[in-house]
Amino acid sequence: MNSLKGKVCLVTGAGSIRGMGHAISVRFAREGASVVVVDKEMAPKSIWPGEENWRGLEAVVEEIKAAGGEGLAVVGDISNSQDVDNIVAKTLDRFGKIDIFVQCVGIRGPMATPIVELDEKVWRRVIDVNLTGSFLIGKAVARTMIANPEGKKMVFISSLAGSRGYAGSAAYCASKHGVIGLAKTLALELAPYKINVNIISPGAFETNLRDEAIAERAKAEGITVAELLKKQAEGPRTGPQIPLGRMGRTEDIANLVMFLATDQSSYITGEEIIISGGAE
Amino acid sequence: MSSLEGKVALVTGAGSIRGIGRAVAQRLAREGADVVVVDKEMAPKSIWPGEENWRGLEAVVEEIEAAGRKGLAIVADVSNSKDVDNIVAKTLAKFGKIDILVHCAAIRGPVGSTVVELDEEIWRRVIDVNLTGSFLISKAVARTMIANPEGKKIVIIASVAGTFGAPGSSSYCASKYGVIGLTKTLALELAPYKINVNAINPDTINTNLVDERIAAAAKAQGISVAEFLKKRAEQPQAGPRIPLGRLGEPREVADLVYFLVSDQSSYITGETINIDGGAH
Repeated sequence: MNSLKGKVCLVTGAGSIRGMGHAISVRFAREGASVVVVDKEMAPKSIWPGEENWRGLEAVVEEIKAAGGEGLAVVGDISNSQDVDNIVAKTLDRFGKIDIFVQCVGIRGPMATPIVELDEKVWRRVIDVNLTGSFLIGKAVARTMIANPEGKKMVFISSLAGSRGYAGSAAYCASKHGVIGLAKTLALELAPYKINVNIISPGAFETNLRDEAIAERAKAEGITVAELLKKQAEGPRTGPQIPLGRMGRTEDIANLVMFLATDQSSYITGEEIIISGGAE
Repeated sequence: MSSLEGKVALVTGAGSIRGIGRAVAQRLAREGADVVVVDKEMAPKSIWPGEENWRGLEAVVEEIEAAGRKGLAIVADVSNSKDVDNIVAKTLAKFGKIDILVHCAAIRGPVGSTVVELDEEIWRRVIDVNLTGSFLISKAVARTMIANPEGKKIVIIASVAGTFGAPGSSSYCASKYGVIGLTKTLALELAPYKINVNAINPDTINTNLVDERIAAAAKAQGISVAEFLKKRAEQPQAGPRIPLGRLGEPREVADLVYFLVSDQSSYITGETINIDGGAH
């Protein structure tokens, strides 16, 4: 398993224990790559019992090393252009190039607030992180790729919410629609260099993305988070809306990212691939 | 790398020398599968110089065997249900099961006939082969998969013409739209069995599907096909329409097929993936 030997990968949003970025980073390392992992905090919290002491990027770097790769942790906010410059500078300083870029940073924002009630500040924050963050980091990384574009690949994680409306989730939904527009445009602009840019739109996955919403619901029901999670695990987990009958797992995403990061997908660019167990 | 060792694959439309089906059959055999190859004729003709003696399915079976696997050639028309029954019966008789169906059989139909001029008989033929053929073969194969569905996969080759109008090609276009509707429905119906069903939408790939168009263009210019092909090879092939600047190769479609029939894509179903160099 060294199909990415010699490659340098940059994965943003890689610090959460249950996150896609975490799974992708470890997969890349297993395939022989060096991996730079980025998150806004060194150790994003998880509400799940037993995960209180998660050490975040530090732990991910250790997993990367254990898989035989080289790792580097950078704490940075991709919605801040100085932080973005710092992420790129540190990566180039250590590894000299970026071959594969995967943008996983995303915040969920409110899940049940109708537009007529949605606070402007909350809206701005979600758009800023998910959409402007994708622009800033995508732009900065693309600039480093153009001079020597061979085999360079970019993947943006969007969402099913990038192609349909979700009542109560306007900010998330609009930001993810925007990410698709951005990535498709970038794909056209980088096609002359033969740099592939693609989008993955996941359906419902078992990650930390909804931790905040779960914590709020537990509070509303007057039970602890642990109790709510237990209740959810015992109930029907997915509802009828996922034809394959289960939520996605982060390794499902890592498998698809891997396909898009290799020479197996060289004629695919500007494409949005939905991975949702058949849910639309 | 995951392997298809022990798997039985059925590939339709596999007899053309430059076809997607042949490339798929070769790739699946290389990954360890035994492959049944089907076409309407034993040796579909190619207009390309030096390919006059192409032996069709017979030659593809030899390629499968050269990869160390078992092959079986079946001559059949997928738009004829008796032929379809025969394909399935022969496959089960020799290999006992079908793990993977890759349905590539299709005809292009007229390229420059507007709807108001299009002959009913031609329309019916294209719909019959492309759409009803897809229904008949996938129905018959799906029936064999349901009893023991683990790891079963269906991939249907549609087209980017299944996602937008194509002036002068209404029958092809309508048939491919229909194939996508069929695929998405089949995916939902087979999801309870964990059988993945996906469609691939190629743009123009370097296959024999455009042979007729090339022959017509050569005739219109009053030169031989060989002269036309030589002239065409000297020009940039794709023009500005395809951002990656070239036509796709059958091998590249085979790479995507392999991803979709491997265990690397188990959470992707009911999805259509464009492979088009960024054109759409």
